[in-house]
Amino acid sequence: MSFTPLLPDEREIVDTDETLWRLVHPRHIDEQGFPSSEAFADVQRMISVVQSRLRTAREAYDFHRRSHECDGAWPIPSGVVHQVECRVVDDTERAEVTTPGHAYVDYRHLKDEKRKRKRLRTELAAAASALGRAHPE
Amino acid sequence: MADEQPDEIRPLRLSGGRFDLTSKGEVVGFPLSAARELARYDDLILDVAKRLWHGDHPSQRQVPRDFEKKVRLQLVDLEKGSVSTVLKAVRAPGPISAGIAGYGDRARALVVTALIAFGAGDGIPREFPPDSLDALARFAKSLQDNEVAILPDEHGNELRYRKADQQRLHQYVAQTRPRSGDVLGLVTAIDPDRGRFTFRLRDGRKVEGHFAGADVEAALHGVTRSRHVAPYVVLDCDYSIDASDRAVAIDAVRSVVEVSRTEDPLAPRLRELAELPHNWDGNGAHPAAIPSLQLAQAILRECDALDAPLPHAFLTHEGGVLLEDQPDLVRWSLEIEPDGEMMIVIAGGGRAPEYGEPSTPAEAASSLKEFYA
Repeated sequence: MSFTPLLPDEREIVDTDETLWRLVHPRHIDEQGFPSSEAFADVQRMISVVQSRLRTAREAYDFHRRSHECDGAWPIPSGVVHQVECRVVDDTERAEVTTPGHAYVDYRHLKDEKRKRKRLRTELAAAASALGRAHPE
Repeated sequence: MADEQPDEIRPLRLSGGRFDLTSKGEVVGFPLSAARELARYDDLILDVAKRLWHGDHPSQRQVPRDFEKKVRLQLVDLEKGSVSTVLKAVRAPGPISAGIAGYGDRARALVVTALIAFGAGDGIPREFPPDSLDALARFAKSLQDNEVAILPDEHGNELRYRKADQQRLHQYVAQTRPRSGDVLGLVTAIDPDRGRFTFRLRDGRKVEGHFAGADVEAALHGVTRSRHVAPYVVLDCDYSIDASDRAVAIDAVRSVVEVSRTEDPLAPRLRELAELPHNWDGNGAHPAAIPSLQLAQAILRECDALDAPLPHAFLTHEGGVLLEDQPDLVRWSLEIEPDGEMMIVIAGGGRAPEYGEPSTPAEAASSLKEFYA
């Protein structure tokens, strides 16, 4: 099980203390205001996030809201991503990427690992819910 | 707010026949009778753009106030060439809300994509809004046999669309095709004398149903209620679909199975999930699969019977159902895939994950009960 090679303009974020913002669609929010684990999944197995060192939760939310419905920006500690053997990739230098501070949680290597994919989503949702929505507060 | 420049675009060219200056030397202007085609094109683009916007904003009932003004084009010139007339238009000038920018361009591109796909025999692409099909089938209706509408695609290639294409599309849209299988909805009225009933599909459309036989009549009778209290049922039936693969009539019912009664635990939430349309997340998500809804409701009944707390219910992108709960740092998560396969993960808070693959609703409910114990 090895990671998919990165593109020339991408680099792995190895800092385990970085917080990432995940912009969550309102349909993924329960009656008490917490996100489902489906909010931390992606068809391409690359979960879009915004790096907190580059953008505040509010900036990430405001930008996303220009073109998408959004409940808010939820925090993901990058340490949780590493804990489940995945990685965070900074792709802000790629010409096609228009979201300021963009990065993605890379789990393409888990293509044939259903349990691990589900664990990743559950861990991310649990961590985000425990920390609470960052914006709007 | 961003400034969208009133840059000139050429979305449509009309050629041949009345637009051909070289034919018989009698064409001296743009025939007013063809002007309706320009209006029809503009109406089509607005219709598609609105439905795209609603797809991206499923919880909003109305498009923003300046949407129509910004999507409709302003005709600035009809450039007469030797064999064709080019529509030159501009977008309305002035600032445009970021939330509505680009919908006109997306709609124009999607219209061309749909017409190309249809012309190639691939049917209408799934991303084309089904409710815009009638408007699409009307486009180019007033062209004459020797005329052609030419539309550029996103890559600069040109689609040549003729009267014959329009007629073929019109016929295709008007046609229905037979299908057999499960259909989900509510039985809201029944007329036993005529062997007919009214079936409200999960997308809110009502279709007429036909049945025969005392057993089916009794089964339909048992579930017929007004819309707000009728149970969701699955009909195993023969039915007809339209060009967008939507059911338009129930032709013969074989059996009726209740999925969710209003008194069931979490019934309002499951009904809400059942009614979410294609692309409910603005990212191409599928509607709820019937087997996953049936299993979810069965599990929730078991939870209720075991006196276990009721979890929260969500849809997955693929049309499965998620049942989850997180009282503190650790989350219990059960995923029911569209085909009914189930998997449980208990994870979070730094603890080692636990997995389970329950084979019955009772096993799934027991897992939640144990999680709380």
